[in-house]
Amino acid sequence: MGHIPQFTVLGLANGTIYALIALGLSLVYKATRAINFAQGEVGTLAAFIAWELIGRHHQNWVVGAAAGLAAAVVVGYVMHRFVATPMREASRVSLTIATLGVAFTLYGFEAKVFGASPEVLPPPSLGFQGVSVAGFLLTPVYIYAIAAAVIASATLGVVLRRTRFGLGVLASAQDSDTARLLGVPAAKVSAFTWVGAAVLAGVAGLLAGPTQGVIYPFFMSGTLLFRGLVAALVGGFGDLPGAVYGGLIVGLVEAYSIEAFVHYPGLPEVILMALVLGVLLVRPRGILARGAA
Amino acid sequence: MTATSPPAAFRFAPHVGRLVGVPLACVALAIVLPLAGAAGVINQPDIDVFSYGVLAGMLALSLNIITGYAGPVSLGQVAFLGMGAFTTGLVATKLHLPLTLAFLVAVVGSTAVGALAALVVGLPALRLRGIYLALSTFAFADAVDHYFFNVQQLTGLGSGITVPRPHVLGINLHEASRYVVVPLIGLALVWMFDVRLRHGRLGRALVAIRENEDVAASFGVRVAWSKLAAFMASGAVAGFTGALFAYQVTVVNHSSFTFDQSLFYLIIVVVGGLGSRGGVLVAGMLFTALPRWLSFLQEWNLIVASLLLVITLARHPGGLPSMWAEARDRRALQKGQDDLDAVLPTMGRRRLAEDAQAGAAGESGRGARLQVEGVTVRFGGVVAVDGAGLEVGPGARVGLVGPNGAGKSTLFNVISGLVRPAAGRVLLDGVDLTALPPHERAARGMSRTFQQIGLVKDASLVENLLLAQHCGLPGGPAALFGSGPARRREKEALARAHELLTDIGLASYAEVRAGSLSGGQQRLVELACAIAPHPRLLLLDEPSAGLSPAAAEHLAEQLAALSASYSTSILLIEHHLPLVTAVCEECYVLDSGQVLAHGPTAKVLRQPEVAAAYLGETSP
Amino acid sequence: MSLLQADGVVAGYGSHTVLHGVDLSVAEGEVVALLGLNGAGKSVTLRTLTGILPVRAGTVRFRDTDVTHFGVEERTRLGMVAVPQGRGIFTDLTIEQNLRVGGYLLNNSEYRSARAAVVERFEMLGTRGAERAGNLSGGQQAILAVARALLARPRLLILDEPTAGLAPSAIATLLEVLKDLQAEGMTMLLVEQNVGFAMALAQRLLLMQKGVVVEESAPGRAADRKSLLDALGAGELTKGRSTRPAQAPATKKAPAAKKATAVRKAIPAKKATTVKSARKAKTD
Repeated sequence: MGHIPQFTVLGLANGTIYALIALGLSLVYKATRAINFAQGEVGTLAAFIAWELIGRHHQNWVVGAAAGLAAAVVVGYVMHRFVATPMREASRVSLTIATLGVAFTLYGFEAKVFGASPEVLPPPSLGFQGVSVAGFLLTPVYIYAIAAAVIASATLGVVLRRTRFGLGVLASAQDSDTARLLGVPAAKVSAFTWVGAAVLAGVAGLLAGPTQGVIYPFFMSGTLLFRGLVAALVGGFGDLPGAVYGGLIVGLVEAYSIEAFVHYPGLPEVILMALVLGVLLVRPRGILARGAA
Repeated sequence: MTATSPPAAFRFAPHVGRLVGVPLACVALAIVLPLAGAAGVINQPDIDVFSYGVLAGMLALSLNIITGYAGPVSLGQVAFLGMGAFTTGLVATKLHLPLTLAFLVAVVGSTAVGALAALVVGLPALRLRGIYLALSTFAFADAVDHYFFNVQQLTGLGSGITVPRPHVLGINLHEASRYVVVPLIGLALVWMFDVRLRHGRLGRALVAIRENEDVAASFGVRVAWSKLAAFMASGAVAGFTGALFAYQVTVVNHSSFTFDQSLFYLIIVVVGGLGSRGGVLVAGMLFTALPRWLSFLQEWNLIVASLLLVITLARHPGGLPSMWAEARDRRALQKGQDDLDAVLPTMGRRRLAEDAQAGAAGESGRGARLQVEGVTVRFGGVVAVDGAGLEVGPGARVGLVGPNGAGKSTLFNVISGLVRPAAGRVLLDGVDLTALPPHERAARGMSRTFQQIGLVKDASLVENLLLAQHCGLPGGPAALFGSGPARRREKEALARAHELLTDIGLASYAEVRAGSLSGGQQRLVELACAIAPHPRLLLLDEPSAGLSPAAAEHLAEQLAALSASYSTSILLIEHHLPLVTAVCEECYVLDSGQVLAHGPTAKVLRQPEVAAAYLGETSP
Repeated sequence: MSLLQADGVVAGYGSHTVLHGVDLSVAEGEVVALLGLNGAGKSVTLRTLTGILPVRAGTVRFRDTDVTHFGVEERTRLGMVAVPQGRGIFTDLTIEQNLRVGGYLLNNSEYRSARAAVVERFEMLGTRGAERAGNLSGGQQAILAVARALLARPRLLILDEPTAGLAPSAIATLLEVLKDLQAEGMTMLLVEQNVGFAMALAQRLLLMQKGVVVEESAPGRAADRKSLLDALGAGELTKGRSTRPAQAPATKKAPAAKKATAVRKAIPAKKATTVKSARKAKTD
């Protein structure tokens, strides 16, 4: 138990990655009230495309990352245009299942194109080893993750609350037909939502890949997506600042349980499940419930 | 024509085909395949793959029970399969029982484990709905995936448990062509169970719950219990399948039950058609067996299934079954579509009176007395109802009017049990109902309608009317397995459903989904559902909402006739004042949650303070 | 000159056709009401006019432009603004935010002046701006919906069952508001189940049956009114109360003051007296 400070920092650092996933989930939920099960796999795709360029074609990290993000944008746009828009009138459960289908399509595609075996995605570099905080070395990938989480949530916050377009997004989220009748461009709102979520997923995938050690098809959609879901739930689905807090909380809970139950490798998962059930049953709007879900 | 034998179209016989078609095919295959295998006509490996496909189909059917019929999306179905398989593994290796007994114990035990596990997973269903419930199943599945299957201590064995093929009644089922009999018989049993479930009382309740729990509860459905029953049934079938699966693969380890497979089965069920037994079975078999058979299809099955899923959902968000259902309904509706509005004014009164006499013969004055005392309801900081009270005498017709936001519907929800008051009591014939849930009140003769039309739009008119008689029908295992008395009661309920439909002139649309009818027609069906269980108190919430003036007039006639001949007590909320004046002798006026006035209708509506608060104008 | 012209519009859901060739036109400055029994296709007609539902055949022309295949937002930009069924208030946003969405197509300075005009007309919206719109009563939400629509600078204001779910006092207030707009020259097309309301407001009444417009009448003519009410099957029951608002303005004498008080209690609307005198001038 003497490693609390290190595990705290580790937990918070991992938490920023979960926060990125949760931000994407909350954004989609806010607009459609559905859960985007492709939020993880888009990240896997970005990671594999980056790996293809960095690992196989020896490009530098920036080029690889850019390509990965570009792929994410394309998938996001496709989801907006060919899944979300035709399913405008569908139930949110149907849309959720449709995103599951997208996740599996990506999974199958990755397995076919990149092969099913694990690969190593090298981390980005900053020219130095990292920053030591409370005895834990924050490597550049984590520094990037923190920066990304901060930038993403700040940007979303500003856009949604301070711009006319953002208000249109919020209005559309509540009643898209009426918003259209008042002139809010539905297509742009939808594209913003899905491409935005995809970019967040892509960033998460590019950063999680190095921290996980290896990447393999579906790697973002298992454990990591689950943590992102828990984070979004804890913070309140649709609550964007909540997604960040939720991510950090989940990161901490995970870190502490790994520390505490070193001899029972599966137990942290059970604890997370208990957390999920607890939140769902006691405060489904999120522990930090502020507004309406 | 009095209520005795239903017309031929409604007898049970045609439904037998649905019940035994697939099972008969299974039995036929169970005879043919072993022979073909032994004769070398079909390869053992091919039969093995087929066997595997049958099991996948069974698992898909189990998921269909919970997600297709009941609604909750289960993201962890494979976990139940795995638990069943592990149980069988443990029975096979730890309990040293004689072979046939071992097989039976394993199968029964696995089924029970599956049911219990599903019960645990389903418990959150008592509090959660929709997406949130799905999340809880996801959490469970992920935890099981990581923890239980990874804990070697649990199994005490290395990388998996070996489960040799069973010997049953002295016959060694080791070869694929012999073992295949087991999954086939299993499928036959599961199929028949599924049919009886879906087309019986529980199945109807599940369809209603899936669409609108409040409406289901008002019909007397015990929502929580029904959901749990659905989970348990689903888990039992999955556990049962798990046992057969363990014998099929002969080595049980964690990698067979990973979490992503659960998600894939969900895709299969949706592609096959939620709620469509046959489609789900076929999809399950195709998407799992084919890739095993044709190895180049591996990974393609993921892509194809997923793309099919997305395309199906995108082009037809309701899914394939709803597409077919809509087409079928359209055909039914084409005939006799015209001028239903015009037909409205001429029917019903005669039939209602006869029907009422038949029912009221031994039960005169059966209207209940409703007393509401000092009810207060708070939503957050807002006081919706403030110490309101009213009384409806036996057989009386009482109106409840008031401006928007006065608290009328909230008061209704308190009376019918959907909302708990902060203070006050609701008594029916002197019995305090305040603590009782909606289905208990329905069981005591309280029947209600809803402002937004309380019908199960996805169910046919007949199903809705059968559902309305939910309380009067026996449930439980006896009904599921078709005992004598249960079957008789169902027949009677079916007959009454048919009568009521004829009554309102919609008999030819009996099998049409309620959602396909127009608003006025749906209102009539809703009214028929409300009176189907011979209620003693009828609560009507703005029944004329969405109706044209003509239909509203017709409704007034129906209601007057109904209570005159039936002596049911009626409490009516309405904005359409002529309707209230025509139907109700006395009337309460509610304003800002308080009772403003009470008395004979015409007089009350002319009182100046009522006029000022509600009508916004002075008297003529 | 007709502002809106629909010719032979055919539309429906799935393979279910609801409109079988709707023809209608609305001239500048007119108020036209669309009446009909349930299922006649009134709301579907509005949905095709606004563009929410695609048209299968026929044309829709607005301000001399063929808008048949225009998107919803484009039509709004041209000046076709609709208040949907149920009013479509963004209940989780504040009143102020609701208004800003109404003025979505305006830039910030345009919006400021437009908003000032609207708030002057409907005082309540200014003082309670920061409140959650979902907390308003039905009648207040109806006012907000109209205010919001006005911010979108409509040339044609379309209203889908504006009185649905409102108590009679709120209906009376809404009628006043719309009559004021009409007096200022606003062109309106509304769908209504409340026959009396429609007759009090509209100059032309169109009756729809089974997806086509079958009859046109003017509420001023007694013979037309009777035949319309009979066609709607209203019978004796509805000839009493619901047509009362139609008579109220014409018989305004002493009761006028009392009515104004009752109305002001419900929703404080500025300029009640000046409006009254303006209308008095009109009905003479």
